[in-house]
Amino acid sequence: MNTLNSTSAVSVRVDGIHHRYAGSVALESISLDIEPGELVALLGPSGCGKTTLLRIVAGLVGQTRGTVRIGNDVVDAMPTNVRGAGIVFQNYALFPHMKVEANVAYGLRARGVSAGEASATARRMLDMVRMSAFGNRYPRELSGGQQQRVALARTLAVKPRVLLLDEPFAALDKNLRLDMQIEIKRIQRELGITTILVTHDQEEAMSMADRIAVMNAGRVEQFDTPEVIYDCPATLFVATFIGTANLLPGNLMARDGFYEVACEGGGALKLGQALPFSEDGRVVVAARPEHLALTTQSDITLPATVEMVLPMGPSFVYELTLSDGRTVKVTQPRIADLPRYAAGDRVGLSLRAGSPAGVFSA
Amino acid sequence: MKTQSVAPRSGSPLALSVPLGIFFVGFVFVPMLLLAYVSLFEDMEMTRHGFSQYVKFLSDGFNLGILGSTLLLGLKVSILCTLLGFPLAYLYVQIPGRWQGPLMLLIVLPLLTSSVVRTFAWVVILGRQGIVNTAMANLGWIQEPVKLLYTPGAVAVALAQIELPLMVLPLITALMNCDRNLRDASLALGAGHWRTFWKITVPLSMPGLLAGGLLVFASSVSAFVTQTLVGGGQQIFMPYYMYQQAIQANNYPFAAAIAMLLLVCVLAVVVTVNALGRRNSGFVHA
Amino acid sequence: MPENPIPAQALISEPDRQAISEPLASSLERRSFGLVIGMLGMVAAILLLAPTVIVVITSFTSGYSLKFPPPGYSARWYEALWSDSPELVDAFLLSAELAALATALSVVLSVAAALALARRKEGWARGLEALFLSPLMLPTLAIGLSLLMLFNLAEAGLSFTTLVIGHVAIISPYIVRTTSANLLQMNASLLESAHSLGASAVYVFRTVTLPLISRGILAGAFIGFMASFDNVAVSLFLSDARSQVLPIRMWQMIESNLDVRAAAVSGVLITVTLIMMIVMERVAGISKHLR
Repeated sequence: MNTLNSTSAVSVRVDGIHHRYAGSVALESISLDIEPGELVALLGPSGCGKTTLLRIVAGLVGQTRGTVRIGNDVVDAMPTNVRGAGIVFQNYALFPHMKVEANVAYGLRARGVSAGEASATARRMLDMVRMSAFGNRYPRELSGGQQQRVALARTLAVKPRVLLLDEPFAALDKNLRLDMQIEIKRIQRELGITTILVTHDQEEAMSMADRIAVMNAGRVEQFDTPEVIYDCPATLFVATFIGTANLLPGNLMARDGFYEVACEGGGALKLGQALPFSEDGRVVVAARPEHLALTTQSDITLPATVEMVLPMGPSFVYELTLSDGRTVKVTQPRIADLPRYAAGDRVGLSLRAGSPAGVFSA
Repeated sequence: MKTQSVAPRSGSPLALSVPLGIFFVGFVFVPMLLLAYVSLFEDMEMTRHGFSQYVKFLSDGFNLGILGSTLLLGLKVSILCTLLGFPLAYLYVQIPGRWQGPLMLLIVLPLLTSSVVRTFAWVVILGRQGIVNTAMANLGWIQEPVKLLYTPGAVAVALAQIELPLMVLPLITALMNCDRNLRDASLALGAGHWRTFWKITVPLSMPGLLAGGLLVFASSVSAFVTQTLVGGGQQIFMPYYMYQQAIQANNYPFAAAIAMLLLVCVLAVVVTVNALGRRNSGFVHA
Repeated sequence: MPENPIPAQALISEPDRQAISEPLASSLERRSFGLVIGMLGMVAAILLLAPTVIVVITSFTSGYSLKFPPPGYSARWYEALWSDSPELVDAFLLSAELAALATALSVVLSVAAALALARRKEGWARGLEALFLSPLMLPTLAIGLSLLMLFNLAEAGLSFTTLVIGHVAIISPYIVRTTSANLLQMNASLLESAHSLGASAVYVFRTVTLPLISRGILAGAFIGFMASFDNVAVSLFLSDARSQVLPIRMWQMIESNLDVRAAAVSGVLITVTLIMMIVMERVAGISKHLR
C-alpha cells in the first residue's frame, strides 16, 4: 500500500527568501533546512507570512529574492505544474464538477496515464485514506473531513516529492480535528514524505511536527523541536506565543555561579542560568506558570498576594498580584505534601530549582 | 395611543405591486395576446380567422430564408462573441485591481451608448472611404474600394462588437465566482495551462457562458437598427420584415405572425439552453 | 499570472546542486496559452474601443464626407449642430423630455413592485417578478408593434402619451431588477430592529429602506433613462409625425445622405454618456448592476 518509497524522500531548503508584495515586505531573510521525511510546521499569527512561504515553495508565487531547493535541485525556474510539490488547500479545492474518483485521478490523467491505470491508482489512494466507498459521489455530498481526505488522496496520487498543507484543519470542528491530525501524521510517517504544514494553532504544531518554525511579521523567530521551543524560547515573541508565560521585567546581575534579577515589582529572582540573554542590564524574564513556586517571603523571592485559587484537575492555578499590580499565574500539582495557600495570603515567588526561564533583553 | 399594525414579516405589502401589475397587464400582456390574436386572421382587412398567415410564412422559401438567416445571424454573433469575450473576461480577472476599473468602463460604455451611434460607427468604418478600405488601399492590397457594407459578414461583425459587453459581463461574474484555488490546485497536480483551461475553467464558467450567449442571441436577433443600417436593403431579417409589413404594407396580420414566429423561436432557444444548462450546472455553487 | 520564475543562484561551495530549468514542453504550452488569450483579449478590447474613437475623430473632420482618416480637422460640424440644426436640437430635447418622464413614472411603479416582491420566496411572487422582467428578453420591436395594435384598436391616436407608455413598458424591467438586487442585499435584521424600536412602517421605509436602496434605484433609473433615450424600435411604431426622437432623426440622416452632422451628434452623445457613466459609477456603482 505504500506508493512512495521512504528512501526516496527529499530535503527542502529555502535560502534567503525575501518577498515584497503590494509595497510591503511579506517575508524577510527566510532560510530553513528541512530534512528528508520530516514534518515541519510553519506556526505563527495571521499575517506572519507562513502561507506566502508555502506558496513560494509550491511555485504559486515567485519570490522577490532567494532560492528554493527541493532535493538537490534549485527549482525557482520551474513553474508549479512541473515542480513536484503537492499542495492541499485550506478549503480543499476539490473540482466540484467531477466525481471523487475523477478528482483523485486528475493529476495522473494530466500526466498522460491511461484511464484504466489512473482509475486503479485512484482507487488505491482512496483506500489509503479510507474513502473507498465514496468514489462515485460529488464533492458537495461530502463532509469537511471527508473532503479533506479526498484532497489528500488526490495530491498523494501524483507522488509529489514534497507535501504542503495550508491550514488543513482550520475548517474542521474540534472533535474531527484530532482524528484528522492523527490520520495525516500516520500517512506521512508511512509514506515518509517530506511535509510542510502551515498552522496558527500551536497545539496542532506541537503535537504533529518534528520541528516547528515559529514565524512573526515575515521572519522566522525560532526553528527547532517542539520541546526546545517550549522550554528554551529564543525570543520574547516565541515565549509568549507558545504556551503561557509570565513576563517579569527587571535588572540582571551576574553573581558568583548564578544570576540574580532584581524585579520591578520588588524582590528578586535567583536563576541558575540566563538564557538566551545573559548580559547585565535591563531584561524581561519569561517564566511559565509551572516553573514558579510559592514559598514564604525572603530576599530572593518576589513578594505577591494570592488573589484567587482555582482547582483545575490535577493542579491548582493560583492568580497572584505583585506589589506593582502586575498579575502572575502559577500552577502547582495538587498533592498532599505541598503547602496550599488561600486568597489573601502573602507569599514569595521563586523559580523552581532546575526550571528554565527565558531571559530576554528589554 | 393607537397600536400600530405590525408590518408583514417579509416587508412591504403586496398591494404595492398592483400599479405596475395593472400597467403590465394592460400594456404588455394584453398587447401580446392581441398580437397573437391578430396573427390569426386570414386577411388584411381582418374579417376571417385562420392560420393562413403562418402557413403562408412557413411554406414560402423566401420567408423561411429570412427566418433562417436571422437565427443564423444570432448563432454567428454568439460564437464570435464567445471567441472574443472569453479571453477578455479571463484577462479582466487576472489583471491587478487598479487596471480593472478602466477596463470595466471600457466594457460598459458601449452598452450605454446609443445603438444608432454604435451602428453609425460601423458605417464609418466599413464605408467606401472608411478606415478598412483606406488601410487596405494604403497597403496595396486593393485598387478600388471594396464593398464591405451591406454584406452578411459586416452585420455579424458589427453586431458582435455591439453585443460583446453582454457576453463579457456575465462571464466576468462567473469567473470571479470561481474559487481561485481550483486553478492553482490543477496546476499543482501537474496539469498544464491549456488542460486547466479546458477541464476546469471552462466547465465551471458554463453558467456565465450560457447566460451571456443567450443574451447575445436574443439581442442580436432583434437588433433592428444594426441589421438594417449595416445590412442595407438586400438583406432582410425578421425585425425589418415585421416593420415593413406593418407600416409600409399595412398587413398587420402577417406582421403579427412574423412577430409571433420570432418570439417563439427566441423563447424556444432560451428555454432549451436553460434546461440543458440547469442539468449540468448544479454543482457549480457547491 | 503569479508565476515569476527567477534564474537560479549558484552556490560556489556546493557544485552538485544544479539549477533545473523548465522543460521545453511546459514552457511552450505556458507561453502559447498566454499568447493566445492575451492576443484575443487585446483584439476584443480594441474592438470595443475602436468604433467609438473612430466616430469621435471623424466628427472633427473638415471635409464633407465620412472619409477616414479625415483630410483635416475642424469643429465646424459641432458648430453646425449648434447653430444650424434646429430639427436636431428639437429631437434632442424631445428625447430628453420623453426619457425623463418615462423614467420618473417607471421609478414610481417599479420601486413599489420591487419592494413588494423582492424578498418573497413564494412561487407566484417569483413568477410575477419574471413577468415584470420579461420585456428584457422579448424583441422590443414586437412590443412596439403590439402596442401599436392596441392603440389602433382603442382608436387612440398616436401621441407623446403613447410614446411614454411604450417606454415605461421597456425600461421598468431595468429598475425592477436593480432595485430588487439592492433589496436582496439588504440585511433583514435592520428592518426588524427598526420595527422593534417602535417605528411605524412608513417611518422605517423613509429612514431605513429608502436610503439603503437609493443606489439601486439610481442605477436602474440611469440605465432606464439611457435605454429610453436610445430606443428606436418602440419609438418607430409609436410616434406620430410631429414627435421625432433623436435616434430616429439620426437614422434618417445616416440612411439618406450620410450627413456628417450625424458624427457630431454621436460625438456629443458619447461624451455625455461617458461623463454620466463615470459619475454614476462613483455614486451608484453601476457596473455591478449591469452584470
